[in-house]
Amino acid sequence: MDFAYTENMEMYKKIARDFCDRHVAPTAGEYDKSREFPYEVLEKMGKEGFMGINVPKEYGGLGLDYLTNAVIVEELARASATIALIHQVHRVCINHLITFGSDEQKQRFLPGLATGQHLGGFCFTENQTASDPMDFTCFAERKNDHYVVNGAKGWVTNSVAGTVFVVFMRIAKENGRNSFNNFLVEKDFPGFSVGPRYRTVGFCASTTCDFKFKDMKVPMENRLGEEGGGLAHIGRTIHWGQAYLGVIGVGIGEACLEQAAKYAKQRVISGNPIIKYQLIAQKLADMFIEIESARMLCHKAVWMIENGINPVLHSRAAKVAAGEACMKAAVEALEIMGSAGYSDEYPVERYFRDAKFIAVGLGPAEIQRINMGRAIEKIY
Amino acid sequence: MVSEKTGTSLNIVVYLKLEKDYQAYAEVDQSTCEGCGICAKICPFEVPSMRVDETVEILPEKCRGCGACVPYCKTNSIRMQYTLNNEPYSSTELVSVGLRNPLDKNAIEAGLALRDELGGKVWVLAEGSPRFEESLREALVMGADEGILLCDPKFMGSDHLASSFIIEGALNNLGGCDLLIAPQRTSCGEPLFCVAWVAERLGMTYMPFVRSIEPGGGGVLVRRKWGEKMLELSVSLPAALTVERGINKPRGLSLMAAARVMGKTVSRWSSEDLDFGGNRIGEAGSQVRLRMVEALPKRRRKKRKRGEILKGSPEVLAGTLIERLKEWQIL
Repeated sequence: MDFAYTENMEMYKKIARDFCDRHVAPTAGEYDKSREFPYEVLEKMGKEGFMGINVPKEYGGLGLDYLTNAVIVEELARASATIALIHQVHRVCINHLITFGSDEQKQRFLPGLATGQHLGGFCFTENQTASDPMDFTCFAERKNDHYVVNGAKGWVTNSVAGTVFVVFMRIAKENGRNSFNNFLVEKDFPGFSVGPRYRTVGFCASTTCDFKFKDMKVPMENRLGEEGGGLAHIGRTIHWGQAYLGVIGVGIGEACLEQAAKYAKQRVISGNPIIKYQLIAQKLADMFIEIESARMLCHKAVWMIENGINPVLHSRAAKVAAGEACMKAAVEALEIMGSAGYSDEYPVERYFRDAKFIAVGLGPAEIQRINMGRAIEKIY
Repeated sequence: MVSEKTGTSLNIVVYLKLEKDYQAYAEVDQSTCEGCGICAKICPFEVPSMRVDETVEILPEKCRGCGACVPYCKTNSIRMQYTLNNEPYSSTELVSVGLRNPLDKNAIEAGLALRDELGGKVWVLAEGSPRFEESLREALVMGADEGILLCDPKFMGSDHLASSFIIEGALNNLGGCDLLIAPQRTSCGEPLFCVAWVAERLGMTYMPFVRSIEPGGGGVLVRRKWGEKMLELSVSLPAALTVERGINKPRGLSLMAAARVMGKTVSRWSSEDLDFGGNRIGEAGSQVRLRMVEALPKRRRKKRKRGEILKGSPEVLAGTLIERLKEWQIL
């Protein structure tokens, strides 16, 4: 048991922070205001190797371990949560491909994804049924050597810029656990269409849209895993995604704490910097407690996944804790900074808008708690 | 031992002398301390704290040893305590890890740029305590082929002459080099004379204050400062150069480079690995020894004289102004 970062992790953290300070943080506010997709930043990230941090070395990536990934993601989120989310969804696609893809599929897609030439995405949610896959309707019907897909997927991040998507689909009409599969859908497939973009509260530069598939042909070699094995796969990928979404929340919280503490040291009221007043100091201390606890939970969840332990409680707990910690940190930071925090002169208002998503995305905190309750019922 | 080479591929050694590694902390004499608390106000790190008996306490493990409080104490109750690397391997180090000399990166970059153009190899040698391994790992990520930490309790307290023997020993181990590059100054602003000693003894061309290096002229072409002038010189190899800050813009660290050197380790050489020919290193071999470090009293700024505002019509103003200028012998 060791809580210290390894020497390599320290080095990666330093490099990631340096990169973020130079290329990500300075433009984060502008992209957020203009709602433009940050192509230039992603291009730089691709050149520097950020887009392939979890791709194995033999496919042109860096092949870093899970905890180092978490350290880098936290640095990205600290600079710009939007960039971290785009990067995260890209990595979800890669992770799913690495874990469940065949060698031939990996060879075809991973080198492009590792360099950022292709941007990955992940489609799970359907607008009508939210998080329960048993009610999903997006249907892939097998015809000889291909599948014909009809249906829709909602709330897809990276939808405009993405080129390869992991799409979760039903392959049989009956309601069994073996009636699902994941497919690699490429954007240039005929019958694929992207709906209008959602105007979200936070993560404004990320492009979130709905997808529609009408008689879209997906070749057999794009199916991930054995026929009917999709539900178990998607469960593991979602646990993975939740743990890392928590890490993004920790990054946002860290940015809030940093901004608020700096401001509280500078701002002088009645001759004292406000950090000397106990009410402000207490707020900062509480922020630290919650963020650090969430960080520990996230790291543990990530560590469990890497070591093959099913994080049935931990990944959910990490996401919920991080979602609450970063939202509270953002509120407290805004309150410490007063009007300055409420205006767009400081980035805190952006953190405030972004933070809410951590609790909402990838299954809201309520459903996580319900699922955790069910798991606890079985375990204890 | 130094290869007689003027060809295209160069063996380049970058030498970094890392900060003197003393540990320092302030100690309060409780018998004379009046508890006025001025040290707590002066301290940039907010270390001194008031005790119940109205004396001041400075915790040694928190004190950074800057010495800022010493000159302000009315009763002279604060003394600085120094330990000069008696136990450099102990983990309880009082001073936080020193920043690497910003010039170091320029020196490394100069070596790397030459290597990238001509081919060859870059070794980075650093003399200092184990905690500077991190600096060397950074050099590896920048692209150096090998990083070697010269680290031994016996090296501590070496002056420039003694340091030059350490470098010589290390160069002997490497089998010589074509180009030795070092930063012009250490982080405390001290010029690196040891390089001159090495050059003298090994028959290398010594060139300080270098502002640019490029290959050519049967060796390297350098530009250096000479008073107010800039000289362009052709330097034959082997050569020892000390470089100035303006020479280049050091490359940044990249994730890809870090992943490439992930398995690489920094080698560590101690006095047993090197041959010095007698007792020439460390404090024993030094002509100059560090006895104590004292903080200079704070400089007070001179008060500026207040300006005078002249009044009246433009004609009168012009007249008064001309009179004043004549008074001051400007006109």
